[in-house]
Amino acid sequence: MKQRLSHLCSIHRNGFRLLKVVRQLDRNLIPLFILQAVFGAVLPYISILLSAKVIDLLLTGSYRRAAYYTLVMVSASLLTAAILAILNYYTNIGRRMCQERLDVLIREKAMELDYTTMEDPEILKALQNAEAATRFSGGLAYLVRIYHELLQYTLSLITAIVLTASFCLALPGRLTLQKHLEETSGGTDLLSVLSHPAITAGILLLAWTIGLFLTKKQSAVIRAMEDNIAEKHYQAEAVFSYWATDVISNLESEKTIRVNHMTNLVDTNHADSYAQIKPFYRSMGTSDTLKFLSEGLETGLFSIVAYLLVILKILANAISIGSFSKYTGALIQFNTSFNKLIWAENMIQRIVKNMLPMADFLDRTNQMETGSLHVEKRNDHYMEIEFHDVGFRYPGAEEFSLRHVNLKLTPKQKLAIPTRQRRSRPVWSRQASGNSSPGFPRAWKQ
Amino acid sequence: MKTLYSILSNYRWGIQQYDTFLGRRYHLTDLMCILVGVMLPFGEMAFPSFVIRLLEQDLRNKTFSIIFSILLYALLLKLAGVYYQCLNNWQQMNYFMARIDIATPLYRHMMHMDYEKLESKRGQAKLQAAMECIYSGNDYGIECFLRSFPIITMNLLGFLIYSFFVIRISLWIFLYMLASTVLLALLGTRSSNYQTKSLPEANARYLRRKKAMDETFEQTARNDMILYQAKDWLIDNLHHICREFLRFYEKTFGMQRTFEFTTALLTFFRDAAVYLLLIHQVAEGQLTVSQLLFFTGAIAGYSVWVQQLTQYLQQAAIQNHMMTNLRSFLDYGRLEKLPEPQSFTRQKGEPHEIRLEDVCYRYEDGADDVLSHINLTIHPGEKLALVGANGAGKSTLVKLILGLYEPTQGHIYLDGVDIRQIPRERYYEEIAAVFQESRIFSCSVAQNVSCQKNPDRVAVEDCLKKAGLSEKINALPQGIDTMLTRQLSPDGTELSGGETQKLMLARAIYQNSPVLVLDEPTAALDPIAESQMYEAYQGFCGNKTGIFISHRLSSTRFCDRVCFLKDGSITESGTHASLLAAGGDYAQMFEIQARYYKENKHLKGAAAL
Repeated sequence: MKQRLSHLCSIHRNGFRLLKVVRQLDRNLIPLFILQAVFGAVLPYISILLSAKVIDLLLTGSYRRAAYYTLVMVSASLLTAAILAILNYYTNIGRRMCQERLDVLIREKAMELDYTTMEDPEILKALQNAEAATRFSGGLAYLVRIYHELLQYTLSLITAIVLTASFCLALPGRLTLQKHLEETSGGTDLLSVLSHPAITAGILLLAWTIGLFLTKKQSAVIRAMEDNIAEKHYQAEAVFSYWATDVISNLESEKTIRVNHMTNLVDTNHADSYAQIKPFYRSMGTSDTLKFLSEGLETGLFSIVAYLLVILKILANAISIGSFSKYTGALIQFNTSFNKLIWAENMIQRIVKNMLPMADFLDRTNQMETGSLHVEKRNDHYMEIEFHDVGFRYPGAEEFSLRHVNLKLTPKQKLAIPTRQRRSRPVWSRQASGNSSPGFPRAWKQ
Repeated sequence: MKTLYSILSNYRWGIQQYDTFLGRRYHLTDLMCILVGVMLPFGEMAFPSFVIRLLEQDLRNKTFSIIFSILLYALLLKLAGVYYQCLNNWQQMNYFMARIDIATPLYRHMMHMDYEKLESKRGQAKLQAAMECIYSGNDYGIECFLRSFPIITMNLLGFLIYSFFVIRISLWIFLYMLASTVLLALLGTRSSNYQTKSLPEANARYLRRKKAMDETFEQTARNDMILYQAKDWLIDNLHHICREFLRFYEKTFGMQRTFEFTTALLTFFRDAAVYLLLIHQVAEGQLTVSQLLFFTGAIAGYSVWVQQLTQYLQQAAIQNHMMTNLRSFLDYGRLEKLPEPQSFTRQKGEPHEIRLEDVCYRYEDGADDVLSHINLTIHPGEKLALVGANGAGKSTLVKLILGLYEPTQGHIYLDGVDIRQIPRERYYEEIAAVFQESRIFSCSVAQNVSCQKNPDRVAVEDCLKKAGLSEKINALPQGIDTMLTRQLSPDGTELSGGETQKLMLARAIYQNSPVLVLDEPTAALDPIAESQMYEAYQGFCGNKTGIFISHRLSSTRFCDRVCFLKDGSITESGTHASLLAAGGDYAQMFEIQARYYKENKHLKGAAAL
């Protein structure tokens, strides 16, 4: 349990780290999503609570009051819907803007970093994977949306708990409304027992616990499937991209294919590639189907128990007929919100794991040593450059590309470096321009 | 944008394609989605009314049956809901999987169509538009277009069924709802028209954005970015491009906000009127409470059907343009299937004569001829060098000889047969070409050399040996079965520039065609590597007819004849020695290239540094 809690804290710590990046890109986006979550949580309950009141008033013959509450209900719906429309506009724009600014921020960071870091294949690969994963997840703002859903479900859950508590505590016979119930025999006692608060709460708790157990079990299985899918998704997309952009819509490739009559080869290999990735895409559909079945089983079971308990309470005169939709709505919302919280946690875990390399990249600093010495400038802007026992090795390489290079360029001297290909000519020029650091001493520019 | 194909025509075509890839069983899923999709909301709408009606009645001795009825109804609704979600998911997967498959006819068309048309600006624009129809995701293009139709059918059915109930409430309510539907449809049409009209501009902005993002991330550009401290300028530029790109979305989301607000306002007036009317009828004893619940549910459901119907009709109209783009591209640039001409025969190993007769060429949008009145005969077995400055027309001439372009005037003959009469596939058996931009594909070494799915392994190994690449390939873990490039295979091998050229040589050797064309294949090699490469080609050429294009004149020394191109015409022709002696443009170019290797730097026309 402690381990689980610690793991959860670690996920959210990283999640907030990514939210900090969002805040850096757009200060307004997170507050907007919070507002949207609040209104999104409130909206369903307006119609649930007020429509229950209207039905009760109609059943008791208070038509004028029923009309009044109807107007309150539709006005509140209009107000909330209008506010949501405005919030949707700003959050939609904000999401797009966030993604655009993130792409620019990554490129800005790439330009700030030293050459050696940017040529490290591991760093680049991690960044490219994170960018692709971010794109497939719907962008960084999607993380904000998941947290927004977390907040919305939490608020919804709190409201549902309050209503559920009031439902459980409703005593049988509290209402003196349905006179025909006084004439029922036998059943009344059984109904009273079954709709007693303790019994109601006990049955609800049991149903909820069974549902929670099933949800956790299923969500672990489906999460493993979805993690596997997420990992392979951008690989599958890379296959598409290769055929679409590098081969078939590339003019040089098309020229080569025609002149070397490679049509059959390309056609067959393309078909084989697709045949290999199609089962992956089918598995995405299978995972979604399993998710629907799993959610259906869990919520369905709880829903039936909720309907049963509400009907029993109504028949036992504990709550009004009009409260049917109120309490069934609240109970189902309670269970649904809790399940959604579990699924949202899974989603956050996956998104954070995929996007974290991007946050790591943004936190990187330039590793090049730069001093603060003032460079003595000549009037004619000509400089002297000296290599003093310079060596260089690419990140991850075993061999040195340059070894013990000693060289001095005097002002106005023109130096030619004729070599065969792959003989470190580019390394020379990068060293001289200061774009990469030598592995051992030192290129001096004075 | 002028629509060439109607919505129904595109739908019929799309369904035919999908039937080819999926069979017809997916229509059953569509049908079930429609039926369940209509019945389920109806059941959900009627449920509260059903419950209230049961609970309102005399409950004596009916407690158990009431509980049972309600729970059974709830259970059936739940099961139907889960079934509908699964059906919807299967339907989505069907349409998605077929979208993957429909890329195949597009690719095949691209590989077989007229290259000149494919390369042209118009062809590239058409290609881009066609690819958007397939690669823009689930919510655009062919997948979205074809999926709209079962959804439209479902909404239409729902609309008709619910209209019956709404008319029963009040004709005025029905007319009000129709009027509000028309208003919302107009708003929606305004939005979809804007999206359709601005789609090309939005795509152009997207491509501009993508290009800018890709370029600033290219490692080859990093040197310049750092050295010229271009970061701030580039970042400002990126921000500007992104802001331009976002403008399209600002307008679209703005229209969506107006639409949502108008919907909310119309819903307010509708619900207020309906509730008040029905409450009045309940008060008058004309309706029961359960009937009120039923009718309010019907009104709410009716709005949803109408809204979705207009939404998906508009969607189909927008996506219809993308479908048109796809079909338009598939009809573009189709080559006629030609039979092999009777007069064209080939003896194995026999070299060919290539003759250009008064050949002119102008690009599609070009104002002037790029090649002008070219008359050239390349004799069987002759090695011809084509040289000239950048932009002289060398590569264009080669593309004409290769049959990738068609002359705007004149003819090109292979052994006296106009190459336009020879089927392309047959023609390419006679020519092996190596280009400056050598393409290695993500397949095995053997397949890259042989250009075949099932190569002759002994022949491949022999060709690699002759090309000087066998040592390198044999050292690889899987030899000639090793995958090249890492795009499809993380364990793939990357070859260096020189090794790639050797692979191209091996490819040419394997093909063993009587005509060999080399279009600056050694441009990226150092002089020693280039010399070794040309020696290898010379050794392999034998009695083949050869055409060598280069602007490095050192590569012409082993050719029988040199043709110098200038401004689209052949201005000089002869051997290397005779052209030097003539002292023309060729001689001047040669002297300029050679002077830095000579001791005497005082040359005519040489500018001092």
